[in-house]
Amino acid sequence: MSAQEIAVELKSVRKKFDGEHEVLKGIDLEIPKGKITVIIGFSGAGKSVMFKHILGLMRPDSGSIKVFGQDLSELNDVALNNMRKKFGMLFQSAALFDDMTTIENVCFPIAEFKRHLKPSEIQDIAAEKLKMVGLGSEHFNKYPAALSGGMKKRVGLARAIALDPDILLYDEPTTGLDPIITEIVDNLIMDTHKLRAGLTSIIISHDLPAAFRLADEIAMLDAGLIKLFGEPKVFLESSDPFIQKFVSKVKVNNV
Amino acid sequence: MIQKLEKVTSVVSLPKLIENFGALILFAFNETGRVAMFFTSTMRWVVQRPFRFKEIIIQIEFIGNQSLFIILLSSLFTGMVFALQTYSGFKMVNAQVLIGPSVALALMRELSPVLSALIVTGRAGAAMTAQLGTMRVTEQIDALDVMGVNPKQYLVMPRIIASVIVMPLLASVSAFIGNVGAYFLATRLLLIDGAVYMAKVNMFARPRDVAQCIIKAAFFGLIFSVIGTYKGFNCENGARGVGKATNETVVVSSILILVSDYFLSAIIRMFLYEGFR
Repeated sequence: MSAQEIAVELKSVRKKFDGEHEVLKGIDLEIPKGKITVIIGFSGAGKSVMFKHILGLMRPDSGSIKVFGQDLSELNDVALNNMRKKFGMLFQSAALFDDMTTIENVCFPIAEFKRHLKPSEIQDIAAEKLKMVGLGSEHFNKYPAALSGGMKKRVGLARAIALDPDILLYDEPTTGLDPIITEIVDNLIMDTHKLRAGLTSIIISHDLPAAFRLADEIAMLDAGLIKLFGEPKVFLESSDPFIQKFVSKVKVNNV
Repeated sequence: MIQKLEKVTSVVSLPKLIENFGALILFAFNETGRVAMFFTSTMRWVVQRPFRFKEIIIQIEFIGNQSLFIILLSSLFTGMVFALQTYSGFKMVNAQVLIGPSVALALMRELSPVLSALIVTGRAGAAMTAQLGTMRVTEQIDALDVMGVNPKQYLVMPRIIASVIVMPLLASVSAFIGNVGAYFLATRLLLIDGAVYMAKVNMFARPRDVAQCIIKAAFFGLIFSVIGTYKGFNCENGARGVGKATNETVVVSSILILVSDYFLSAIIRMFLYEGFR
């Protein structure tokens, strides 16, 4: 795989907490550009910690993280802040600003980084993004407290894509949602990914059937190490008992 | 029963007390260091673009304007009760006319900055912690970080700057209203001559007393805003954690305001008055 095709590269990334508990034990991973990569693993395997490292919210004890070839450890706080503009993220809880309406939430990043735009232009862009995720104008002036779980995810996704990021991160996007909404959110992820050529999507998920349905590549994280990385069929064909145990649920669901 | 007694004895034993005291001191040093690092890392963002004037104005309105009524009310009655209480003492030595300077100096040097700071800590300081704490536990602060909007610059810095700007104004208004209350009580109810009252106030009160009021109030504003934002920004454990952090903000800020008041008074006395005598 050539260097141009890699969006995020983690090399021997290690992270300890409190000087003892090692969560990441030397992660090596190359996330390809323009594809959907799903990171799976048991709770406590280090998925969220890995996400925070990719975003530069945490610094590794050793090893390096490169985003589009740029080593994050070489960036100061201001440069790191600028680097984060390449990312959009949908949080597990959607993390909407509860003192802002739906449209204000989506306007916020646009107003922050496209200061040359007029308020009406910002509103237009935000409305377009909300419509892209299937939210009608009747919801634009509602506060997050008045929205359902699925709607919050849509607004969160509209906010994440507001600045047309190069990398979209999803932190357990379907956790806590019913099966119908889960399917809607999965389709939304797929549709959003297809919207722009070259968009890299990285998803942390516990929902294995959905992971196998969405993923171009899957990375399995276990006890702070990448156990296996490859296309979904590699997982299904693996003879490793641990992986077999993990993917048996997918086989049962006949995906 | 004997086991219980042994347990109690071991808890209050001298080595245990020393150990607990040591742990407390270590915790205090650690926490002071963390607060200092939090403050310095926040202040670095003051000079970074985009400048957050709009957020500072919003916070000035919240901390200042929305605290004004409660400050006016409490200061008016503080001035009046101070005049009433000192009247009986001064009357014994036939020096009722000294009510004016006593109230004026007490309000400007101590009561207005301290009382205003304690009131605003309970109102705005607690609100800062609750607001930032809720944003932390619901991942809203993480969302800002991920967007490339520095949360310290967007949320913390405007609150600290606004508090330092607003507190001297509130304390000055408090001192003025307190004096107005005392003047009306003294001249209308206690029948002290208004002209004499004002002449005595002019004789004793100096611009340096106003300066003391302003310096103290700004410093107290810094204390409660830094503690309030620090506690909220580093909040953990959901709603329970937010409640605990809010409580800690009020308690720690109030104690620090009262303790630092003494040291600040001593320093100001050394520089603005007749030296440390």
